[in-house]
Amino acid sequence: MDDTQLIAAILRRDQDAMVALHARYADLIYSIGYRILNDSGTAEECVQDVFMRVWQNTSQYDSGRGSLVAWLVGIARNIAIDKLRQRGRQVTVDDRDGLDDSDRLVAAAMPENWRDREHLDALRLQMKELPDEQYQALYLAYFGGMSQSDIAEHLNLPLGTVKTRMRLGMQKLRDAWLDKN
Amino acid sequence: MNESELLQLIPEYVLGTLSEEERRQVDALLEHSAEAREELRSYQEMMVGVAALSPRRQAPVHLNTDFKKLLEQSTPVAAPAPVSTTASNRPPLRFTSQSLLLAAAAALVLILGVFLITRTVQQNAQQQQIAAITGDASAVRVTLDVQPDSGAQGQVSFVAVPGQDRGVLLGTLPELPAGQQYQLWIIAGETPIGVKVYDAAELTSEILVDLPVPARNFGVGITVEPRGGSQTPTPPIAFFGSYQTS
Repeated sequence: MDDTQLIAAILRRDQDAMVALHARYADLIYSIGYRILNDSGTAEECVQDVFMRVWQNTSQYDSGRGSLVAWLVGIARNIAIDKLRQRGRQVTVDDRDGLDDSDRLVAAAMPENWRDREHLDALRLQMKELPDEQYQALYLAYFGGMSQSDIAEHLNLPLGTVKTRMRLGMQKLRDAWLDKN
Repeated sequence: MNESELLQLIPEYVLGTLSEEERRQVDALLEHSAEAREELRSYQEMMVGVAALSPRRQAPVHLNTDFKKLLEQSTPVAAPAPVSTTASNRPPLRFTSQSLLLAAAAALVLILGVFLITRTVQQNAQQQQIAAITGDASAVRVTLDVQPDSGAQGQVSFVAVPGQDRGVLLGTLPELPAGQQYQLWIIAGETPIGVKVYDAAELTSEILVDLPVPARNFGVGITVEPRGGSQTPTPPIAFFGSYQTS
């Protein structure tokens, strides 16, 4: 079953379909959780919380606003950041060396028919080329859940500068994703 | 803020860094702007790519089995509460035939009243939902065409607001023999999903339909099936239309 069929079955309260969705995306969600939390136990909790939330709130999924996997990733990020805050911790910005070895990226575990696979290389290259200051601001916001004013304070920069860096960084990544470069 | 300025905020909306007020304004824009929804969609899909570029960590295998158990536990089976009154402390029950008749009559009136009130409330709620869908400016209406060689007659349309999980079927269809009914199908993937079985008489007014997937880019078909409906559509398909939102 593709994702559309899975979500249709889950809407009909098909538990087997829900377990199949878990099997399909557990690695992705676990990898996001681990990247944010840097702790295997809490990343495991994150995986179960994400899929339970999907089961309990399936009708909130709106295909008009994005794919099922985008919805899952958004939930995973929110749950992991909540756990990060509960523990009073901060995310550590990683270097980008890992991007060179595509076999060791979670993309390698995405379903074969993931339609956005072809866009990934352009995005990977653009992420590597992003100026440090833009990458850092985006990382702290997305994987650290920090507000723009928190980031401004953390990096000792004016708020306007942080906003500009984020916007530019996001636009470059999105353009690469859409093959506009 | 005007629409163009709000559109510029979508990257930050995706990052979750907007203030509550800014977020509320972007939400309002997304409600009515297809361009904003498309912009949001492209950024969200791109962030899936960013997430997929994370170092791979393999989730422990037991998580899937554990989740299956969690899922089973999360669907409680309703059980009647046990009655704890014992025979020794239960007061003796004495009824006359007259009091039993009066009690039965009162219960009947009460049940009938509750039934009528509930049905009226449900009908009103359904009519309101139908009016909300058919009156929505963003609703997409599809005419279901009679399929060649099906021998079908009648006119049917399907209306739904993009992204919502309910739609409305309206039109007129001829009566079928007693052992047959019309069945509505949604074709969102490889397998058509039967969503509603109905008689022609029901289609003299609009029918509210619960959709198995949010309304977006699927096929809508109607077949004639044995009374009660079928698991899979019986050829030939009588009516078919393509619901497209983008």
